[in-house]
Amino acid sequence: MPTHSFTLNGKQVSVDCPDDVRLLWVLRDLLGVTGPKYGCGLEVCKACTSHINGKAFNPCSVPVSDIAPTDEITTIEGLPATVGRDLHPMQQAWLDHDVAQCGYCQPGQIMAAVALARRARAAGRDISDADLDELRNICRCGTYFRIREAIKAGAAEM
Amino acid sequence: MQSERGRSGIRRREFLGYVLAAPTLVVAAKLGKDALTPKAAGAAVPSLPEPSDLMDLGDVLTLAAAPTSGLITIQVNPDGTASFALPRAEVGQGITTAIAMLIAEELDLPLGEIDMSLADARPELVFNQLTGGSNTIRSMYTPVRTAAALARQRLLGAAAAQWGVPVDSLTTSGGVVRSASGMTATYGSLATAAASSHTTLASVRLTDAPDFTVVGTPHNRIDALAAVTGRKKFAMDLDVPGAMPTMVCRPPTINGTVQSVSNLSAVEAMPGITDVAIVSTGVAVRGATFGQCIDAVRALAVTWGPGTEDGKSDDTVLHELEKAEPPMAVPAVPILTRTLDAKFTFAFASNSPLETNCAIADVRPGSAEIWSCLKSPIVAQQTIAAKLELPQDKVQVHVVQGGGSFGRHLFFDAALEAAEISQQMAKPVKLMWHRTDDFRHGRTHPMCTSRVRASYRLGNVLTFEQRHTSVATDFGHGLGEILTAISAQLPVGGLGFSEAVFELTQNVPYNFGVTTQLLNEVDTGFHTGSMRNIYSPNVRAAQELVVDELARRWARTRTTSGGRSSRTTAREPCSTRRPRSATGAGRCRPGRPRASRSTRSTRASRRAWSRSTAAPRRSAGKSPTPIPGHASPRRSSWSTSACRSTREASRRR
Repeated sequence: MPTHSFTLNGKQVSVDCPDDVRLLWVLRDLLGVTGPKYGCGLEVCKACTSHINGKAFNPCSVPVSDIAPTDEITTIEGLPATVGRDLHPMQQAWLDHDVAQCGYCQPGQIMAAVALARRARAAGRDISDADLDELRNICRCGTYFRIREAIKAGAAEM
Repeated sequence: MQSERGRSGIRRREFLGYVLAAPTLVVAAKLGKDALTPKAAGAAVPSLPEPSDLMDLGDVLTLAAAPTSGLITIQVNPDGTASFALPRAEVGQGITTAIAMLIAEELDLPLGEIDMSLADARPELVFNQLTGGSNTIRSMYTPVRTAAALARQRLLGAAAAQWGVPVDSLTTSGGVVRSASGMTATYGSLATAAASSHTTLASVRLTDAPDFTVVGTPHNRIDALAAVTGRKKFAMDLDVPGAMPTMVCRPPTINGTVQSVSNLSAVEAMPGITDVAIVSTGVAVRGATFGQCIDAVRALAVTWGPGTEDGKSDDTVLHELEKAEPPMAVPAVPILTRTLDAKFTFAFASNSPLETNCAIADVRPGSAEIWSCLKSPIVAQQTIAAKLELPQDKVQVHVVQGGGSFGRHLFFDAALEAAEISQQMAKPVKLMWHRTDDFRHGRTHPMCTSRVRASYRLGNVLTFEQRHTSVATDFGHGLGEILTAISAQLPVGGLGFSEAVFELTQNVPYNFGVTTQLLNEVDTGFHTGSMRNIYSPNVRAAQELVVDELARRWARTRTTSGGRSSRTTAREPCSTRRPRSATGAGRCRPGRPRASRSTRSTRASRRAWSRSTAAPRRSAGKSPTPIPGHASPRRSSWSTSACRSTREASRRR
């Protein structure tokens, strides 16, 4: 069985797994990293949103063989370490705005928000409503208003 | 009394509770009968009260929960924390936080020192472990506060005995008892001394609402940090030894059955797959990852037998509904009055939270352990025990927090299925439904029609009839235990139970003279459930659209401004709006939380209003604009006495 290695939340990991298994199952079922959630399996609900080399992606739709040994995968569990703190500013903003209800989609929401804030920062502009409208992460509880407020606040602290 | 808590002007009401025999302090509530006796309703308005005006579903659930409220206990631990295992399911509604706040209020302990968990299935609670009907706070508000207040009283008593001072001279704050002379003792240090070797009844005074310092103040959810760090554990995040990913290949039709599998051993040999088994709902596969389970499910070559709804379509179900519509009482062509007939058709609506159906099961010879988000865990335990042919007490059922519910987790489909699969494979399983399983085989808000006939004269509605005909709503969970669950499943009891729920939840909040609302149900073969307020979204939408049409005919304006109780109908034709404010006006009984219901109906009618302003008023034969988030009325028809009955209008289209 092929061995796949990559950096996961700052640590190099190796896992024996057939090439075509999607990364979400490698993370959750084989490596025990359960922050990214399953909601659809085809990159629609975005509940599994994580980062690859700092950019948002959906591991439910990426075969593990597409991940190179040099790729850095970050899940919600590894997010605070990217800023060397206990909580990333976006997570703190989430607490300040009391965003979560059931919480199932929130790891994906936060990872999508951080990637969006980085993109806006790289482009040298603030997050606009149009940026927020592009986020497609589903929240069945309907916490969207607080999510949008928290993203603006969190991005300002990043 | 003023010194009860060292605050000035504090008022407390007296309640009874138990101090239970235990090594550390454990307390429970006893509900006095005044807390249970509904006060009489005063009726002085033209429409006679409907059943739900006098007693609604929440009252029934609260009354059903009351006799066992004494079995719900709070424990004060030697480390100074308090523990409470909530006999309800947290699915995002915030009840763990709200109940912790109630405990913090009466126990005078910081919120962070209260350890909340969800109780396993406890059959001795009978009706008191059902999460539904928006009833958790309503049914637990007094019992939880009573138990917490009693715990504080016992801690004060223990300190007073140790220090040889009067209880009245002591105060509490932040989990510490203080004497007038400056002595202090933590709750933890007093927990053992405050315990009792035998169960005793004690009376305790509760804080009056105006004196609350925790309840009514903003607090973040107690699980907010876990949610934003990914540490919050849902069922599929639990690490149960040996419980490997499991999925089910399901039939192409509802309740279809497996006739044969032609490649079972080939699928069993696929990468990562450990087991393949034919079960009552399809073919189950277990493997190293869910991804490999999905591949195996797709590879299975199954010959399927018939299901319960083969060949049905929206059109055939609608035809079934129309044949079963109960007749109206008032003739369509009266002499002195005019009538308005309206009919709305609501489509099936999926009821999936973001977290799909899932459960972990570890069935051994002679025992079983289940983990799932369950709003009726006692019925789940009883049904699973029967299915596994095990004694009920050999099936341990753990309630896990859910990723949303919206009524979905009243049913335990995944838990029952996981138990069956685990028994058959003789291995622990972590069963997850695919998103497509949830859409195709999950539960729906049932398809229904709502017909309304209103007769009116000179700006007054004289009669208002509503006939709601629906694909059967499954109340197979009963009131949370097996007896009512079985009665809800009986061929006759099914409609009887549904009628009871309908009567206890539905009303017409207007003075519309003689008012009747009837329910009829057809077709029990679909997977349905109580999605978001059961009948209300459809029944109330239909009513409000009729009110819009009446206003249009009378050239009256409805505005959306105004006070709380009249927001939707500030300029109603004549005085049709029955007063329903939280202040106890009209038929509202004092002392019960009426505001929430009033708010709900206000919201529902606002939606209807915004829809009807956006859509053509006379929409016969056209598709009206859907109401966001709700089953959409697929078609509506208007007719008046001068024209024809609804049925004729339908034919005309």
